[in-house]
Amino acid sequence: MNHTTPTAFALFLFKFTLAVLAMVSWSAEALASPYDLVKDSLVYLKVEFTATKLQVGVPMTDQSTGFLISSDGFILTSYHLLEKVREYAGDNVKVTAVVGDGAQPVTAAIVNGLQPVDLLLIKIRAVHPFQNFLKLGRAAELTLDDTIYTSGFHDTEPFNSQGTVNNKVGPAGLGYLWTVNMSVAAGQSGSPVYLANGTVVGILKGENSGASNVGYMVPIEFADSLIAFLRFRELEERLAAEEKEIGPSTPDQPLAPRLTKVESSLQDVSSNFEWHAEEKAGQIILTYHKLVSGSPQVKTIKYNVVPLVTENETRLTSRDRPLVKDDGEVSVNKDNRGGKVIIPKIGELIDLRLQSTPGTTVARLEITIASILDDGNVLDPVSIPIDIEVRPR
Amino acid sequence: MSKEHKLSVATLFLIASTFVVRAGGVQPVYPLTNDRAPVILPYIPGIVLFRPNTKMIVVTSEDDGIRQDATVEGYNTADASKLFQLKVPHTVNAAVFSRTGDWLFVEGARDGEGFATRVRLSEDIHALGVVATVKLGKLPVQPSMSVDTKLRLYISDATSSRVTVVASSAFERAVGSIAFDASRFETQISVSRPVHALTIFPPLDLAFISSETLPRIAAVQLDRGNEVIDEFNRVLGKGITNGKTQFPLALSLSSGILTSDGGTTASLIVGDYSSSSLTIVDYDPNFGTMDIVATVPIGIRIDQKSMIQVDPLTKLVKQPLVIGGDDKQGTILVGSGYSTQLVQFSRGVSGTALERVREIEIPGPPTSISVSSDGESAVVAIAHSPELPILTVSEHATVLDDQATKIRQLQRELSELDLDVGSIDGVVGQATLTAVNIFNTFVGSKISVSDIDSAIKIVRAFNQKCPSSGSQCLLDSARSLRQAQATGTHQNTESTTSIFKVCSGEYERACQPHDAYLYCGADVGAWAKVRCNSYRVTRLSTSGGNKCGYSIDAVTCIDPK
Repeated sequence: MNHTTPTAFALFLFKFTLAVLAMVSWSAEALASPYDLVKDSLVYLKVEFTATKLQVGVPMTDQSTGFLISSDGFILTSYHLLEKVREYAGDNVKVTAVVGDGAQPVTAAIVNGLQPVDLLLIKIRAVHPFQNFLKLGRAAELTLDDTIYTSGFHDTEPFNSQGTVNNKVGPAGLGYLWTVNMSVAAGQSGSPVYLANGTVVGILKGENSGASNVGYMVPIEFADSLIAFLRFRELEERLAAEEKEIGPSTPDQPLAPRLTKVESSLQDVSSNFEWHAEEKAGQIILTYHKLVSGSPQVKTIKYNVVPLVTENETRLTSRDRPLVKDDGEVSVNKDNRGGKVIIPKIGELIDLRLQSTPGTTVARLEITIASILDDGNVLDPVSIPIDIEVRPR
Repeated sequence: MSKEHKLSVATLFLIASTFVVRAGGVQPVYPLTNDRAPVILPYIPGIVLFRPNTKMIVVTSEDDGIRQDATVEGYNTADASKLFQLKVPHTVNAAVFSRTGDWLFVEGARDGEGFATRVRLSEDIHALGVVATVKLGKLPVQPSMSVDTKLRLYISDATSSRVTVVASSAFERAVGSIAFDASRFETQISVSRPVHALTIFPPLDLAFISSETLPRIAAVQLDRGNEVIDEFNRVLGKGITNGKTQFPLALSLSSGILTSDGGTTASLIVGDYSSSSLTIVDYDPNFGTMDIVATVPIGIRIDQKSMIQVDPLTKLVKQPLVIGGDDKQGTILVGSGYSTQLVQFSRGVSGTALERVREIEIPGPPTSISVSSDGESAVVAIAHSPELPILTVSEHATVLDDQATKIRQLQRELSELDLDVGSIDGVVGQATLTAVNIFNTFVGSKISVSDIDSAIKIVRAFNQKCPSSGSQCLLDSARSLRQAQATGTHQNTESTTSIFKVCSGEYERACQPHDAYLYCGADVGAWAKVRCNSYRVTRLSTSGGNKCGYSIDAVTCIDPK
């Protein structure tokens, strides 16, 4: 006993110290402000180019905020960043990124963009894996009173702000633009909108020109088609990790509930259809992509096409009567990872509509799609906006 | 989305997908008149309300700011007999029936606090059922009310973005007690803005909420976390007349819009005072969208200067429009706080347009309007007047000017082709003329409103042959018209167009096969000009050689001389 007591005491002291340390570190994390949780993930983005239109040969710049979403350097921001480049038909376009506070600028590559919903994915090289990327949540789970935060750069100065979601619909009833009670200034578009735990639920888009404390955000779900591979990769990694820990699952193995959960998440991914619409020769081509090949596929869809009509005089836009509601047969791609539906005669239908309402134009359509799967399930209707060639009378 | 959730959505969809939202069948149009002697009440009426699917109305006495209680009476509109009378211990600012009509809810104030009373009504109405009054957590301002299938009472407040939901059990507990405190039985729904008007469509658990601060109506799914499914915004284009004052949208729900295969869906009658327009908005459960069916000008005669009334305490703008409609929108009545005229509209015969039926004179500006579920009668509360006009269908009203009837008929036929004729009113306006022109262009006809009989005949014949939507048929017609014209032109071209191959160069023998030969440097155009009334020269080939090389031109000679 006499020999063991000091040892036991030392062991107790060691455990106690560990526990205290753990508590201290836990409380430090608990006390961290939401802004501190994301500040190292923010990216200051700058685009430089030479104008080839309007002010030919003049070097120009623009800036926005982005944020890291993966350890290998993918950054999500607003498509805005390229707006000026488009306007001046920029040449020699160069995007540079500064991650966190004070790091050296590095060159970034544009990976992909979704102009209608104002999202842009860019990538920088990761010399070492970035540890400070942000976790992506789901905006659909937000309620209107939840506190949301945003951080980014105003010019080169960091800013933080907080507010609430005001409305899950934006101007003219646009479902991909939510109204938030936050003041937004130039350059802040592209900033992450996140919860108190740092989980990203949206991307800041811009300010309401009429009200200084009202802004818009794009729900993070609209970035799914840009970052689908990341979400999928995350699930695969989790599945691999769980399998390593508890072995492959069998239906009657009660020890693998977590694995089953991950697998069902994967099934959810396999039923995750990303729709895209484009206008070609007066018809709308709807395509969907899914992350996992095979079943289920979309068998048929029901679609409702509503034009957004702009009055030439007042420049005000409102929704009009639906142009067409119909069923569409889906032709599934050979690789079983997507399919296509054609909505014919849309151009003609718009022309016909505009003939009866002189003094208006149509530059955008909203297509609502209800998908019926070959396994009999029916998915929630989704609305996608599509910019079309402006049609005057 | 969870699997469970998805399945419930799927179930809803499968139920929903069995209807196609396009009003099927013919809705009757009942022109209403104010011919009958009004009921004279011993008080000024505040709210009038038809009991669903009956001829019975409920009338509440106006909140005059002095009395602390109110009278609630039931009348049979068929013979104007009184069915019951009830005193409630508070004023009445809002009233609503449950969907079945078995329960009546009234809400109001006493001593600055909010109260609600629920009354059970027996089928034959000669005996009043249980009456229960509860005290609300707070007094709502300019409230509107609605009831869901679980008899929960939803009360909105024009100064708050929270809707109070009072559980049915509060009223059950309140029986026999005075001023039972319902606040423990209340829950709140957060919406984005203060609420001007609220109405619920119980079969789909949908609430339609008109914002107090913006001209906007949201469709909110109550059984899915009060998610906003879609929004309707003011329709532009009819001229906003009231400067900076934003009037909220007035709203009335019709829950019996028939679909082509016998189902029903919800439809809103939306009144916009700012642009003086009336819009029908159908909720399409297939897509979760609020679809505009038609927008027309209200065109009501204004008797008093449009002084915008603002509540001195709350600074809220008072809604001037008063709207009532039946389940199938066969009878829609629109009144204004500044007019002694009601305008009757109908979704009527076509189901795709709003028909202006007639104007009805009443003794004063209306404060409340209710239309019976079948659309055959209506009742109107008049400001500052104990008279209660009961409007009924009259034979006199159906006699309309023959020419106007025919123009209406043409307008109906055109509107069924998705053409916008404005309101179907028997008046030839710009919209009707535009629609006639479009029809002529697309069908290749020459109809005119001056020859109305044959115009109706031609458009009706076109309609009867149309198997799909009207606009699709117009497009198909235009396409076959174009094809016919193109074929005609082509035949012409064959008969009047010749193509010559003309070779230019030093020696004719060195030319490739040709129809005519010209020497070096000759003008092919001049050659063609002599032979053709019009022509086109296309260079087919050139090759080097001899003095100037050789070239072959194709001369398309149209109408050779």
